[in-house]
Parts: sequence; structure tokens; C-alpha cells
Amino acid sequence: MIRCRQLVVTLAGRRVLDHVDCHVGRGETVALVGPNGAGKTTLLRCVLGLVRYQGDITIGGVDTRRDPVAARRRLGYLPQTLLTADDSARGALAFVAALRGIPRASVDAGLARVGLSEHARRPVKSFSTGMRQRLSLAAALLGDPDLLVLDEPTASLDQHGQDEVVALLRGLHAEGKTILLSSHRAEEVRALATRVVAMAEGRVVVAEPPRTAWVPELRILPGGP
Amino acid sequence: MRPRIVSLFALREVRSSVKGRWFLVGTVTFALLALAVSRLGMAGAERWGVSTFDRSTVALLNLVFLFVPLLTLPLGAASFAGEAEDGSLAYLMAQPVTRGEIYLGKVVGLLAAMTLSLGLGFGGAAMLIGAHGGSASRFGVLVGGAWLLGVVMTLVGVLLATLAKNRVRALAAAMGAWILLVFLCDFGVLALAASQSLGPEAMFGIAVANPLEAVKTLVALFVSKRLEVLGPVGVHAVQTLGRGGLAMLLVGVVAVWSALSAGAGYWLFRRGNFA
Repeated sequence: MIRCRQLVVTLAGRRVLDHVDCHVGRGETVALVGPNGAGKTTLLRCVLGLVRYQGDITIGGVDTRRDPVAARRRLGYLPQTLLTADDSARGALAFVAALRGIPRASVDAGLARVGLSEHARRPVKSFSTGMRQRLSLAAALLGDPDLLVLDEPTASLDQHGQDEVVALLRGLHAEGKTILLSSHRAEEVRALATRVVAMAEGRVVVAEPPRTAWVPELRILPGGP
Repeated sequence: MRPRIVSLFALREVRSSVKGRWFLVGTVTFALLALAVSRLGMAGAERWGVSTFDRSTVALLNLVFLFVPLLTLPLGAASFAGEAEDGSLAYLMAQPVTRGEIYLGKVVGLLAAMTLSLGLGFGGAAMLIGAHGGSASRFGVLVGGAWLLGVVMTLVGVLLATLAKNRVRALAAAMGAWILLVFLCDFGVLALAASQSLGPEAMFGIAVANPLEAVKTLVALFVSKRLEVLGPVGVHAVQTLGRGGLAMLLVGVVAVWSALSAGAGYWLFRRGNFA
């Protein structure tokens, strides 16, 4: 579903990604793990087309540099900085739906999917962090994309919120969605990932299933939980 | 470039600008300036005849052209830099849209918000002038000049935002540009003239390279039939180029500033990393 070849990113004179190769197969849930500054978020941003890079990225066979719009149409994105807007929840979601060319009718279904139907008219600014996280997830799911790119999906959530989001993502994985996420939380990685890509200093250092002997090592990675 | 997507971003920008404090401050300021222009102009017309409208309007031009950049430079700077800083610009870019659509939509929206604010502010004064039989056409030239200046300053603000790393720096750069264009350029021209013994052509050329000075001269050229309101250098320019030629030169200066600011802003926006 995603294939990255020889990605190199240099920001402010510092090499943030150093010849990174990785792939995410259809139906996989791949977790990017590693200490702060390892290059996880930069790799996600390359996939999203937010950062200039050397190398190649394809999403569903589409080259992200040649046809970025078609490539991004295949994915839904949950940012680390949550969706904020002056609008109501319905208005914010309707705007994203309009950008993606999705019928407005799917907005209410999206709100229902994350349990926010009752709050559809409330301004997003009045939402708690957990509610905004769910709203952002609803936005990522608009149009039912095959691929979800999630940047720290449970960061800043309390335990109950984390459990809710993890349950929702497990459901999406069961539906056959492909998920690429970055995470610092070992529990989240164990609960969700079918494969782990560990990064350090801009390089992929290991790519294995999470239930192998590697996972306990996650706990001793600098910056890990 | 899909017009539907561009219009979505433009409408979003207008909505966001109208809800912001800038819109209210801008509209009230424009209204006060416009009322000052119209009241002084009409008071003069009642006492001494319509000719005094020239002087009072030209005198107030300086005030109008002091505030229009002060309000419009930060408008462009804050919008782009603020959204880049809070991550919402990156979020929008992760949608199936191009950077060109985002940039054009936001710029069109900012210009529409500026036009709306200026229109509301000056609109009331225009009606007042119309009701009192004042010179609506001259006032229209003043409003047109203010709008033209608003366009170029908004675009310069956008360019500064694409250069700055965050909102605070973008706003500081906007304030710096305002001080430079409104005050320091005049001093610079005077200093150059004094130190280099510049002729009137060179002085005029350097002065109107400043878009603010170009628009101010353009408005003065059309608001008043008297050449002396343009100053000695302006009079020399009219005598050399003719009114039409001078107007074309001044419009050209504004067009070049607008095109360069918008083009450079887009180039930087397209190449930028949004982390």
C-alpha cells in the first residue's frame, strides 16, 4: 500500500531521514516507534507530502510526487495537532468532506461513528481533547479511505480515551484498513500493530512483528514509555 | 487548479477573517477615516466652495495611507503564519488538494475580507457624501486608491508570512515593513537627495518605487486638478510624462509589487516544509 525508497530529508542542515526504505502492506497495521527525533513524524510527513524529500514514495501504486492529489485521496490523516476550528463539529467535518469531494450526508454518519452526534452543533473549540481526537478521527475516516496515517493517535488522551481509540482502530483493522501510525506507547503498539518499524537517528533499525522478542525492547528505547 | 476547491478555501478565509478582531478594528478605522474625509471635505465645500475638498482630502490622504497598510500588512501575515504554526495548514495540505489551490484560495479570501471591511467602512461615508451632494467621484478615487494599497499590502504581508517561521515573527516583519514603507523610505529619499544631489527624475523614481507613495501620488493626481498637491517633484513628473503617462507608471509600480509579492509568496509556499 505504501512503499518508501531511499528517503532522505535534510531540515535546517540536519539529516532527519537517512536513506529510509520501508513498506506497509495492504491490511497491515504498522507502528513507527523510536525516541524523539528518530524521524517517525518526518517519515509520516513525507508520505503526506508536507516535507520535501529525496527518494520515492508510492501510495497504492501512485507516485506521491507525480500525482499528490490522487495519492492523498487514498488516505485519511489524523494529525498530532488536533483539528481545531471556529466552526461546529458538523461544519468542520463538512469542510473536510467538501475538500475530499465526499457527499455532505456522510458527515453525520462520520460523527455517529465516533459517538459525537449529540455534539454536532457545538463549536469545536469547546470540545475536550478526547472529543477533538475523535472528531479528527472522524475526519480521517471520511470517504472510507483504505489507508489511515495516524500521528500519535492516543497522545494526550486519558486512559478511557486511549481505550476507546484503540478499540476503534482495532475495529478498523478488522475491516481491512491499512494503518500506519507513529507511537510512543508500548501498550498501543502491542494492541494494534501487526508489524513494528523502529527508527533511530533517521534510520530504520528494525522492522519486525511486535510479538517477537523485540517488543520488550520498546520499553528501554530512549523517550519510550 | 480546481475553482471549486479554491472557492472553498476563499470562503473559509473570509469567514475566519470576519470572525476575527482584525475585521472589526479595520472596518471601524476605515469608517472613521472616511467620515473624517467626507466631513472635512463637505465642511470646506459649504464655507468656501467645493475647491477646498481638494486640500482637505489630499491632507487626509496621508492619514488614510498610514492606516491602510497598518491594517492590511498584518492581515496577510497573520493568516498564513498563524495556520502554519498551529498545524492547521499542514492538515489542509494532507488533504487531496494542491498547494496552489490552498494559496490562491487563501489569498482570494484575504483580499475579499479586506475589500468587505473597506467597503463597509467607506460605504457609510459614501452614502453621506451622496446625500449631501458632495463629490462622490473624488471620494471614489480615494476609496479605489485605499483598496489598491490594501491589495498590495495584503500580498506583501502574505510574502512576509511565508518567509517567517511563526506568527510572532511574521507580525514583527509586517510592522517592520510598515515602518519602512511609511516612514523610513521618505527619510531615505530625503537623505539620498541631500547627499547625492539627485535630480527630480531620480528622486521621483526612487520615491514612487515605494508602492505606498505610488498609490498616494496616483490618488492625488485624480482627486485634485491642482498640480501643486503633488509637490514640486510630482509637478515635474506630470510635466514630463503627462497625467496619463504618470498614472500608467504608478499603476505599473503597484502591479509589479503585487505580482512579485504574490509570485514570491507562492514560490516559497510551494517549496516550504510544513512540520
